[in-house]
Amino acid sequence: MKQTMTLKDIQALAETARIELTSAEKAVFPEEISVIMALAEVFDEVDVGSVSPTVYPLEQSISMRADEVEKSLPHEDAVANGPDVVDGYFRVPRIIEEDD
Amino acid sequence: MQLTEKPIHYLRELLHSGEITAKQLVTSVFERIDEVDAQVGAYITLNKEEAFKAAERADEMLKQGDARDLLGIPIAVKDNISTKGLRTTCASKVLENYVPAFDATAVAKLKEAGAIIIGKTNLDEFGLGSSTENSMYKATRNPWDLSRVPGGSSGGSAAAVAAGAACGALGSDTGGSVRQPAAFCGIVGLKPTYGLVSRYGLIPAAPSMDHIGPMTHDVRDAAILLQTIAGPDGQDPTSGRMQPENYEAALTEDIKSLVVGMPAELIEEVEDAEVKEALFGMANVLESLGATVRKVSLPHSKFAVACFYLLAACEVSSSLASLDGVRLGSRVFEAEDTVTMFSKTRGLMGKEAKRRILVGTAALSGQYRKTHYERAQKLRTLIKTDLAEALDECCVLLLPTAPSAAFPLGHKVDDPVAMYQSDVFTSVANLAGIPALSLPCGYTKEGLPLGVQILGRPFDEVSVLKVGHAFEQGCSMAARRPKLEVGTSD
Repeated sequence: MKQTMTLKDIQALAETARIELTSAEKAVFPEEISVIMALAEVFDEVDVGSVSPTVYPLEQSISMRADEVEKSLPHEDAVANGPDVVDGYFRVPRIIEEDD
Repeated sequence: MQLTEKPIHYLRELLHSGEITAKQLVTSVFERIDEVDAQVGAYITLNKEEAFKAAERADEMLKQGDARDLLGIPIAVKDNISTKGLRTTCASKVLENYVPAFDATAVAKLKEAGAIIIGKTNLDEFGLGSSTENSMYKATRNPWDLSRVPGGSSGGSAAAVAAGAACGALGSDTGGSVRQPAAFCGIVGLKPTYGLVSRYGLIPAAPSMDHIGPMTHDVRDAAILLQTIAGPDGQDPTSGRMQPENYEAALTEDIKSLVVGMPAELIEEVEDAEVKEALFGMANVLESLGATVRKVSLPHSKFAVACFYLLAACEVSSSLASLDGVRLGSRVFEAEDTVTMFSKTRGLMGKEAKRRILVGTAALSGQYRKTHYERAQKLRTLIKTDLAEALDECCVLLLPTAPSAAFPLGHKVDDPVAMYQSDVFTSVANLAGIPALSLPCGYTKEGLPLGVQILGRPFDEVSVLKVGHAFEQGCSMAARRPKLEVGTSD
C-alpha cells in the first residue's frame, strides 16, 4: 500500500483543495503527508470486508424538527461578515469573460 | 487560594448568600487576567464591557432571590464556539474579523442560566492540534510550568481555568481536545456522549467526532455546566433526544458493586512510569471505595489513532471547504480570478490545517478512498463494538488521558505523527461517541499534573461523573492549583 507522495502529487492535491502552499510547506509536505498516509498500513492486519462502515457514532435516526416557518436572521446580518458585499450580495472576481 | 480559583459551586453559594456580588467576582477575574495572561496567553478576545453589564444585571436578579446555578459566574468560551456579537476567530487569520450573528446553543444556554461570558480562548487553529501551538495568534503556556504547552486544542480554556483567569470554560473535543489539555493543566474536562450537547454554532472540524464539553476545577462543576448545556436541539440534526439529567444531584460517593474495566491493550502502550503509577493508583482508590476492578480487552484499539486521524482529515477537508473568502471571513483581494482568490485566501491557513486538508483530500481520492477512508470507517465500527462489549461487562473503563505530562513548547511541533500520538488514549471515545471524563489523578516528581479518563456507556454521564466524584473525594487532587509567579515574564 505504501506510496510516496511527490511534490507533484502534493501540488495536485493543493489545486483540488484550492489552497496555496508556501515554499516551506512544499519542502516538507511530500515527506510528512506520505508518513501520515502510511498510518493506514496497519489496516492490512484486519479483514474488514464484511464490516459495515460507521459514519456517525450513535445508532439513532436523525432528529428532525417540525417543518415550521421561523423567524430567520435579517438579510443584513446574514451577509454582514462577507468580505465584499454590495447591495446585499457577495461580490467575487469576474467568472465569465466579457463578450466583445 | 484566589477567589477566582475556587470552584463554581463554592462561588454559587457566596453569590446566593450575598457574601460577594457578581460585579466583585467579574472584577476579580479581570484583575487576574491582567496579572497572568501576558505570560499564559489564554485569551484571544476579552468581553470586558459586556461582562460588566451582565454582572450588573446578575446582581439585580440575585437581590431578587434568583437562584439559577450559574447566575453571575464568569465563564470563558473556546474561540471556535460562536458568540453573538463577539469575534470568533478559530485562532485563524481566515476568520480574523468574523463576528457571529448568533450564539451557539451551548452559549445561549449558559447565558440563559445567568453565566457571564468573559472572553474567547486560544486554540490550535480550527481545533487541529494537541498543544495550542498551531494558533495563528500566539502559543498558550501551561500555568504549571510556563516552558510547557497547555495541551490542545482547548489549551486556552484549560490554562484560563487552571490559572484562575476563568471560573469554568467551554472547550471542544474532536480527538481529545477537552480532556488532554484538562489533564496537562490539572483540571477536569468532560467530553459528553455524542449528541447530548448541541453542536449548533461550533465551527466544525470533523462533525462526526466534534463535541462541546465543560472544563472546570472539579467534577461537581463539570456536572453543573453539563446539565446547563445539554439537551435536544432542533438546530442540530445529530443532537440526541435525551433530556439532560440533574447530574449534580446524581453525584454520590457510593460506587460499591460498580465494575471498573482496565483496557489491557491500551494500558500496555503506557511507557511513562509516572502515568502508569497514577492510573493504577486511581484503580486502587476505586477498589478501596468498593468497586471491582478487572481487565477488559479492546482488540482493535491499536488502530484508533490511524483510524481517527484519517477520518478526521477527510471530514476537515470537507468542513473547511466553506472558508473560501466569499461569504465570511478574510479574503485576499490580490487575485485575478475567483479560483486564485479561493487559493490565496485559503493559503492564509496555518501549516497543520493545510496538512490535514491535503491528507483528507488524498484519502477521499482515487484508490485511497477504499484503502484509507472506507477501511477507516469499517475499523471505526470494530472499535465501537469492542467498547460496547467492554461496557456490557463493566460500568466504566479507566485509561490515562495522555501518554505523558505536559511536554515542552516546540518539542513535537515538527513531528506531526508524534503529536498525533498525544490522542492515543482519547480518540477511542470520539470514534465511539461515548462519554469520557478526564480528572487529575496525580503529579510527576517535577510537580506537573497527570490525568486519568473515565469512559462510560452512551448517555450514562451519571456513572462517569459519579466515579470521578468518588475518586476526587477520596484524595485531594482537585484542590491543588499552579503556583504562578505573578508579574514576571520569561
